[in-house]
Amino acid sequence: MKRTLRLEVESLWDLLPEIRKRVERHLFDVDPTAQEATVMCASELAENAIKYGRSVDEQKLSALDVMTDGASMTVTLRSGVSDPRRAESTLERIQAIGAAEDPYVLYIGRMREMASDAGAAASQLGLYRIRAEGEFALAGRLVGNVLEITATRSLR
Amino acid sequence: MSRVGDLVLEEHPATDRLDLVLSGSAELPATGELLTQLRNASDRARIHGAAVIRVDLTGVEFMNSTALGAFVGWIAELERMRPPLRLDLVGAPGRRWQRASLHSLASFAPTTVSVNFVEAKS
Repeated sequence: MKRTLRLEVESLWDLLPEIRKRVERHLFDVDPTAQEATVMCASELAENAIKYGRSVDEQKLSALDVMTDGASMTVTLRSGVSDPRRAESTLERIQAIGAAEDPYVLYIGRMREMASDAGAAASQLGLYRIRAEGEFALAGRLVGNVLEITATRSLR
Repeated sequence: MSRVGDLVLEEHPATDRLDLVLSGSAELPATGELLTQLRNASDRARIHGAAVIRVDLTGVEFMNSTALGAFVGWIAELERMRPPLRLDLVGAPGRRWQRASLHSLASFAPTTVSVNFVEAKS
């Protein structure tokens, strides 16, 4: 049976533990590995929204949906965009992560890049982590001023 | 004892080793403060002549990717040290995110980082 948890993500860092708790409770009957991976995924995406999301007419507050139908898990984040270049850069990164033959190798490679450039801003390591550790496939699109990131994994 | 946000760091010097016990939640908006604390620990380890830093993460409930990034920066610095300092990361098997994330850190620097899992103290 399909069920969805929808959370509004306010720009408050202190709300992240509550988001994790709510997602964990919502998925109380899901395989623990998938449950914990989804909690991590939701937390990383919500963090992205807090750091980079902006209130826009079409999306006043960022929205996080966690949906399961027993066969798969989908986490969707919609957040307003104030800087389209940043959004485009995120989409390019998502595309690169999706195209990687081995997401884990890409993830470790990203760590190496960060290590050689300590001052690198916006590492977006969280997206790589969602793919490599959480085993979620990532997709993204920009609709007007709203960035939508979708993470999906199988539960089988 | 020091704190970075909700993360508590405690140091315990041991023979040939520095024990660093972390607890709480490592949910950080930026790497800087945690990286500074970790650097301080490795500086003290070198002063004590320790060859290994054992980082007990069994009490860490969650670590975001920014905090992982701080560990990445620190490990890269440890790799460059002469003589090198090794890192023994200790996680709790019941915390599944640790199984994934600590192994990722070990894959990043296999000659510097080892990973072990022990049951968390109650």
